[in-house]
Amino acid sequence: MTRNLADWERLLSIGLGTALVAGAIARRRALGPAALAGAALVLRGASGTCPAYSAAGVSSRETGRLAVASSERHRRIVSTVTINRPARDVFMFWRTLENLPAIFNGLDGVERIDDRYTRWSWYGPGGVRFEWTAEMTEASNRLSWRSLPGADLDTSGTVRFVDLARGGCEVTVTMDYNQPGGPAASAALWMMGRTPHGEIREDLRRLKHVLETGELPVGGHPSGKRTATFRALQTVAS
Amino acid sequence: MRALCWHGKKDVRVENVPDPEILNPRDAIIRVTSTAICGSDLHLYDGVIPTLASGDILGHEFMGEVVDVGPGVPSLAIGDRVVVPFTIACGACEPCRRGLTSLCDNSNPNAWLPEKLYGHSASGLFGYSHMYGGYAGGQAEYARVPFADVGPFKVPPSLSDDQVLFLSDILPTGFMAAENCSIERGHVVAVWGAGPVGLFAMKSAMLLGAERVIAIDRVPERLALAEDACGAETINFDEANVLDELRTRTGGRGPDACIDAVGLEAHSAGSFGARYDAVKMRFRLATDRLEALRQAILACGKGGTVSVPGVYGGYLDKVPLGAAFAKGLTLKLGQTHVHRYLPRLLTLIEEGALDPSFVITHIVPLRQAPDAYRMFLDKADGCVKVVLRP
Repeated sequence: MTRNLADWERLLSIGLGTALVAGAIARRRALGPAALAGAALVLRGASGTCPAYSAAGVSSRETGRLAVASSERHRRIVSTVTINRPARDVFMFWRTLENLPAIFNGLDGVERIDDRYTRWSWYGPGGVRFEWTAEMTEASNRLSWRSLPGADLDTSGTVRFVDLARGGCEVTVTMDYNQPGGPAASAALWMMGRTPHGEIREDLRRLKHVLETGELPVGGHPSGKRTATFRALQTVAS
Repeated sequence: MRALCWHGKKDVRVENVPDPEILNPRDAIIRVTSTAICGSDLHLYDGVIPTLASGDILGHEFMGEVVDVGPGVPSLAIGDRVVVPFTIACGACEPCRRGLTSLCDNSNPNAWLPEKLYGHSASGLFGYSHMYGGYAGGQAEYARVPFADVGPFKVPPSLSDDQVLFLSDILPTGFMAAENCSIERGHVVAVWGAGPVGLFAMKSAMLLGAERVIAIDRVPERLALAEDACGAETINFDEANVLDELRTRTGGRGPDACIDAVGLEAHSAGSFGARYDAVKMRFRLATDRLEALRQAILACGKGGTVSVPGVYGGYLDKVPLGAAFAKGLTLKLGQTHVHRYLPRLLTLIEEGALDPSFVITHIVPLRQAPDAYRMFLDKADGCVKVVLRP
């Protein structure tokens, strides 16, 4: 964990903590809850790191008051999959943008505006719609994109396709983005089990399924009578 | 159609459910003519395998007649009589290309779940929990078979259902367990568990050239089958100290290979380890009872192989890995690569070198499946293997 407390807040934390510990000792309750809380505050101040701030993705260190931490605004995801096809095949499949909505969960449409620009529309978790225009560049074994200013989703990244000596290829996505909605949205996504990292991983798995077998696996049908809980979970998942 | 559905611990029912449909181009629909209850179905029945949901159709050993095929299945036609491997394999990913079809990358739609638990996901399985894909099983009148251009194998009309049904799982499983032992001339192989998989492992070990096979169980009719049908010697673990007995019978060397055909719900006569496991499992502090595996490792001779066709699911406690290390043992584990062994075993059956139907003790209609589960679990009425006719 990196430091996330401003100097004034560190001093406040140490002062308050010391008072709590001293008070507890005076009352001969050196191991009571007040003393433990005080010790934790002293530790928090001395280290300059607050675990609660870290979990919430906020910091008082950068601006002197409580704000979203910069590490929370800019995020990077790296995800990779091995596909038992030549890199060239996978590259060609990916750059044929019409193929992508079947692979990427929530991707509604991709439109080619001209050689450089493409228009994307995507339904995020909870049905929130995002639209952006991206500039695409490609080299022999990689594709890159960067969203233009004014995008609903500020994102850039690269996909690399590398042939393996053992056969097949590795596809690696490196994506930078600003989490729309900030840390609150991050936390909500985590609770829903739909972190961006998990989503990309599943997208790449679908890419592998389609390129290796021509279809996506489906289970779960038919079945006997399901419980209400099971049906509710299925609804949430879909 | 009618199908056997799981509703909780020791609660399975035959219900009316929707007919399966072709969902993908490479699917086929099979009208099931014969299906069996597997020893591993008892783990589901006992509720020790996670991610089973109420309403799931069980059954992964089945065969029948093709009644519908998707456009991506040129190899099958309506009316073909086929036996279906219980592991679902795409035939195209790297594991499949290497013949490791139970490790298929593409057949488990819920791969993220085992990935979290195990690091990677194996193939999807029929009727074996959502962790393995949530596929509807074959203890039903009809079943949908994905990747039907790779999976189902046609069987000749000259062979009966009872002779070829076990090609779906337990015969290849027993065979792979024996093959994993790298048997050489003069080898002695000990097999824990004289259930159907154990019996097929014994038979296969003999076919692969073992000099002697020693069966360990406590159910009299199973030990009798091991002797009569597989030519094995036997040890009843209720009556003898297994480790002492094996040592004595192998000139102190220990068996060259040990096969654990028991898995995570081992029963054992009052040893400390067995009691420890039972108590921990009762309080959900342990996922597996592994007395058979402990004995197999401790009994195995130096430089030998411990081969494990028995199913394990969790994080195991008190595994004598120190003994395995000290004795330079090789451990071979895993779900069966059915597709790899099936054609070879079918040939053996056609040639008359092998007739796996000897394990069958009960043939009942599908509607009696709930009673049959109970009977199989209790090993009542001499039950070794139940075949269901939908």
